[in-house]
Amino acid sequence: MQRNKALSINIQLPRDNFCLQVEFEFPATGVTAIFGHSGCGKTSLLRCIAGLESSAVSLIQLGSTIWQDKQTYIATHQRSIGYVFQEPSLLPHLRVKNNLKFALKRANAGEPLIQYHEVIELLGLNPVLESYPEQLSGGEKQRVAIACALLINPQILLMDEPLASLDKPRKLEILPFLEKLTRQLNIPILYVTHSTDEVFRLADQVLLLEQGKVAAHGGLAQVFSQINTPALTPLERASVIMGEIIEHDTQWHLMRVRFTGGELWLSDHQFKTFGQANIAKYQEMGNQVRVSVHPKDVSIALEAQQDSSILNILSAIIIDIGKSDEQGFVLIKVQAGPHTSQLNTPQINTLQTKEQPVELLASITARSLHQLNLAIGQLIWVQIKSAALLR
Amino acid sequence: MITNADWSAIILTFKLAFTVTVILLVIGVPIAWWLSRSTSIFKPFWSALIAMPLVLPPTVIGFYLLVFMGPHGAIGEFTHWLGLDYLPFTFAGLVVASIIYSLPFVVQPIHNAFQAMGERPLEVAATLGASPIDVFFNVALPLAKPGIIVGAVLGFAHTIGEFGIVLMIGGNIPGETQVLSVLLYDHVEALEYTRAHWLAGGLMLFSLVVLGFLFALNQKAFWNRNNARPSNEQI
Repeated sequence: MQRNKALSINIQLPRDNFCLQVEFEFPATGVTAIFGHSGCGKTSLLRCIAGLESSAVSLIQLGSTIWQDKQTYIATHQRSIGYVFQEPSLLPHLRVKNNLKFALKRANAGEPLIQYHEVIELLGLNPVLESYPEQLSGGEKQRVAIACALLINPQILLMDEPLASLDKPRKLEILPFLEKLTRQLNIPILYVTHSTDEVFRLADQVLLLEQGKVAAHGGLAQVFSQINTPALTPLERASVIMGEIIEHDTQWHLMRVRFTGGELWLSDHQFKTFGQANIAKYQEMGNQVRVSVHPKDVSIALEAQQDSSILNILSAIIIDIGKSDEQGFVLIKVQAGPHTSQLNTPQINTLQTKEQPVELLASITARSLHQLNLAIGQLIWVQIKSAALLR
Repeated sequence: MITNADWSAIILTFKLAFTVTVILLVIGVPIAWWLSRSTSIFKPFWSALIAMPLVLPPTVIGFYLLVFMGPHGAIGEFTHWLGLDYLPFTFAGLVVASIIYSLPFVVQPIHNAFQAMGERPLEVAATLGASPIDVFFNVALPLAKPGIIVGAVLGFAHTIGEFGIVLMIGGNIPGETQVLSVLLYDHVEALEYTRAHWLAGGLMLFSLVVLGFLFALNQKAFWNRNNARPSNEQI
């Protein structure tokens, strides 16, 4: 069976206060987060794809298989999906092991996505196999629900805010499982959420929804560093940096992370306390890390300051200046990297790599913008006060 | 003491109640399922029609059934055309009448059970690849089991207890349509209080035992389920 089929949709579904209208082709690999505020139509969109909203006028196609168009309507049970509901949902009359068997019996043909014992192992289900759903905590239930959705051997996995109904400890309990899963599975995953934490940790691409319409889409870093979209609140905007650990300074407890266009020093404390991960584990995984930087933690200087306590000072070029949602502030978008001259066109940079250069957002006061006389294309220095390790 | 005539009535009554309960479950479960799933605009009409026996005096239903199933009624002409007897004053007639009269007592609890489970388990099953038939038999029915048991017990008990409709449609033919409640009435009319006591007391004892057994069963299922695993899952 061929994995990695792209899902293309064109969905129209009238709701009470808006009309869900989404035309989009999801990438055939990786995790695509469907992000938006409550009531923007995220869940409806996922339910349409699953065939749970029969009133939607849709065109839904996975690879070359049409699930829904004017003539066709493939019922939910015949669509090759795995679905995880927001409220942990199992078949209440069956023990956990029989819930899993229920899925296994009705699994799609073809080579299994994941073996039964692997799922049990990965999601830590052994202690709860004999229990009834009502005896489980929310987190345990959701892990079983995820296992069922995988055992059905789907060609696409749909997850509707799987962590939203759980309290913080349960979230932290499931997130590492999800991370492992998303790395291991080679089917497209659509992950609905309104939490930037989850998006930053799990997603590769993002579909940003607002009032039932697509507000933005693209790579994770690109979408969340957008300046002029009302679909993001000031707190949600952030720069996401994908990098690689290249050095561990044990004397000062610092880690050096290299990314396209620069390097960051991070406290190794974050690596030690972060979830179940530790430094050795990172080294196993090729030292790949994700770091987020909040615009408020980035300031701009015209010259490299030598007498600052701030460790991370990068050379960069201003590529965009936009209004901030907060009065008296502006958002500056910069591209990190050793630019040699004043450039007017943002896409030219001196880096030799083909990788997307890292873009950072800085939130500064409008007065600073005026006093420093900043303009697009100007070479500046950014000072990063703090950066959070995502994974 | 219990005479042969009494025994005959007791056996007939239980035969009737058993037959009616089985048939009611076979037709009541699909009706309840349809009522809980349908979005048809005629649904209120059908709900009202099924619930009518709850509010009508049994004699009203008995009277109309007598008319319709008799030689000049539509049902009567139909059974005659099939080469069968007219239904009034036969055991089959009693079965038909009891089904109609006890239908809401069976449909109502099953309908409630189907509604109480909500959409979610059905959606979960569908996303796990279960077809609608599969969902009905392997998810909806097991989940509605308590409601189905209550419906069956109510249907059974209600059939044993009915009086007015039996008198209207079945008359009082020993061995054919003379059920317990009617015979009891006869005994009282004839001032044979001892025989009446045996029947009435026996029926009371029977009801108590059946209901007690049912409640005990429910409670046991509840305890079993809650003790299946030590309660350390909150840790």
